Amino acid sequence: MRKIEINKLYKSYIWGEEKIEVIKGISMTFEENRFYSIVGESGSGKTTLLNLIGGLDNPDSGSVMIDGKDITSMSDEEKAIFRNNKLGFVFQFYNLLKDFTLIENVMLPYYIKTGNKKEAIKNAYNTLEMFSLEKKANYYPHLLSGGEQQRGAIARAIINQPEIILADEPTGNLDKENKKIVMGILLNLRKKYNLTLIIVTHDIEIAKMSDSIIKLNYGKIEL
Amino acid sequence: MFTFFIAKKLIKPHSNDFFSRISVISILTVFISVFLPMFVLGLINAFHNSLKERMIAVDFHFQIIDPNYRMDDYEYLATNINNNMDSLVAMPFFEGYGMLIGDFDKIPVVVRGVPDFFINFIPVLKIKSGEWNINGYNVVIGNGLADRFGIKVGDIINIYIKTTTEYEVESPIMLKRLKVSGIFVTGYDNLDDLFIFTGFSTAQSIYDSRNKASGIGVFMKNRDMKEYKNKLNILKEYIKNVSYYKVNDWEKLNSNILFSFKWEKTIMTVVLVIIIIACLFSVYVGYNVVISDKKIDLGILGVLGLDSLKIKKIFILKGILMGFIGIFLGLSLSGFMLNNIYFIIQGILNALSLLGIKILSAKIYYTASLGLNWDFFDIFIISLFNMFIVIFAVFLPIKKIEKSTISEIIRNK
Repeated sequence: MRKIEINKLYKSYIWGEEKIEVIKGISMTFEENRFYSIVGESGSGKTTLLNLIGGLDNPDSGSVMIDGKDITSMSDEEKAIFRNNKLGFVFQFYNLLKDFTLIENVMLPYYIKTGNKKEAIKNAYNTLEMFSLEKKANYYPHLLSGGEQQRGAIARAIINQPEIILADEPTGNLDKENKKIVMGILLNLRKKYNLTLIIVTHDIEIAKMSDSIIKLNYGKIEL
Repeated sequence: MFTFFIAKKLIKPHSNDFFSRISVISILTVFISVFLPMFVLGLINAFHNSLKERMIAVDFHFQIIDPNYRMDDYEYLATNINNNMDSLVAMPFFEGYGMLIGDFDKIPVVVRGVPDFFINFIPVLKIKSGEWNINGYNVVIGNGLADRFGIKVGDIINIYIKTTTEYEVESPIMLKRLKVSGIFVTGYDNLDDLFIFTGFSTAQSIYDSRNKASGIGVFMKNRDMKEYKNKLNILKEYIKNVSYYKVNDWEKLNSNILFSFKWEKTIMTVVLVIIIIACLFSVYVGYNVVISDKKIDLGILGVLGLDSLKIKKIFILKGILMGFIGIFLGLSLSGFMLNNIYFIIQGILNALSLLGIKILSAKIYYTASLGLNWDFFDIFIISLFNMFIVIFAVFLPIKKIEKSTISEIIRNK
């Protein structure tokens, strides 16, 4: 079943007086409960495409339909609610808020969604247990290892049980062992929750694990 | 609410970074910009109120004056006021000028003749030595005069006076010898350095103005100054019906100094507002830097599902929290210091005196305690002004980054 439909997506950035086209009319479909990897050279538009899918950026033209809803035409507030409910993001540099403890970081999406702090803490604790991080619940991010921070970031991404996980180089900053652990977690989650998993990566090993590989070349899909 | 939770986390961040220091500096800045005006204005209010209290404690609250200096129906008027207006006490007085002559010095003085019970209505008038005896040719003189001329109780003083009847164009200058029965002190230089009190009839006699008074002095029995405007109107109405005399109140009699109080407060307020703006501008500058530094957190919050309106709310809340803490600290410390100003000043003076430094004359501190004299309007305006500026200072930088998309914010990490 179709989960995400991208139609004639264009995105450019202005650099000084020069206009740089990053995404050049991409159209494609992502199916439900599948694992996609987006690969390509640096500057090929991988991250930009992921950001457009996640509503973190606005395209110049085209549409991104998720479950039949065009997120490019949503208001700022609608997009925020949509992201909070349907999408989970994982970044290369974890992006945990450094003034919040691990459990506070993990609970935030649920707290934002429900406004119920007690329930958010309880859920965050249960989620951290899934990742064997419950003992570090009250640690601040700078006291955690890279692997632990990324596991924490994944816990934060899935606390609201999203339907889609968007991961931008999730293992790019990890050693081999942690890379294995993190990928294992993501693949398990995908199976457990029937997630659509889209990972941007340079790593060919990870790409090989995916159901489909999308190769970008200068803003276009290479067939 | 999660906005409060996030704002609270951001106001007292765990990491001891620039952001946390800016939060502390911002709170301290608000604290200073509340403390400073509240303390200074509180001090000015207290000082002015203290002087006003002294003004109404050293002289008549109202004076009924004959513009032609020939009031001769004073007994009738004073009796009528005393009989018909329970809350007022009226008494005739005679006031003239003279020159007090010493062996090596001379100074103009005011000789005021009053009834014996005048002293009962001047709470700050204390007899430093001798007694309040103004019968016959006895006088009670101010402490400043006594000090200047080395006068003691029992001494005879020489005063040159000029009689002031309205019929004489060139009245003769005459020497009057009066006996000092007491020396008074009020702490009010205008009286202590200038006034000589004697009996009403003695003053009439000295100035050769028998059966005439300079005017009728009126006191409010309960000294409640909130009622004085009302009493003034009643008195004016009464006098208007029975004579052509004028009624002056203590505000009119002290209008110059009261006007200078207003000016002093206005100028001080302007100076303080400039200081507040300068202080709070530093909050704005600090937050511009902080928001740039903290962009990534705002981006992450956006990724997690916070829209820009909620992020703005968080920062407004953060501003309000910082404002409240700063205002609370500022009001608390200024209140504490104003309430204990006497002990603080004494402590500083004592500490300095131990080092052999004497910076001010003890005469300046005749008021034991200024107390807390805040004007509610001052508190309201200063708190509101601070709150508004701090929210504005925190909020404005947020507006700047609103133009960037979340991906731009995160990418520029």
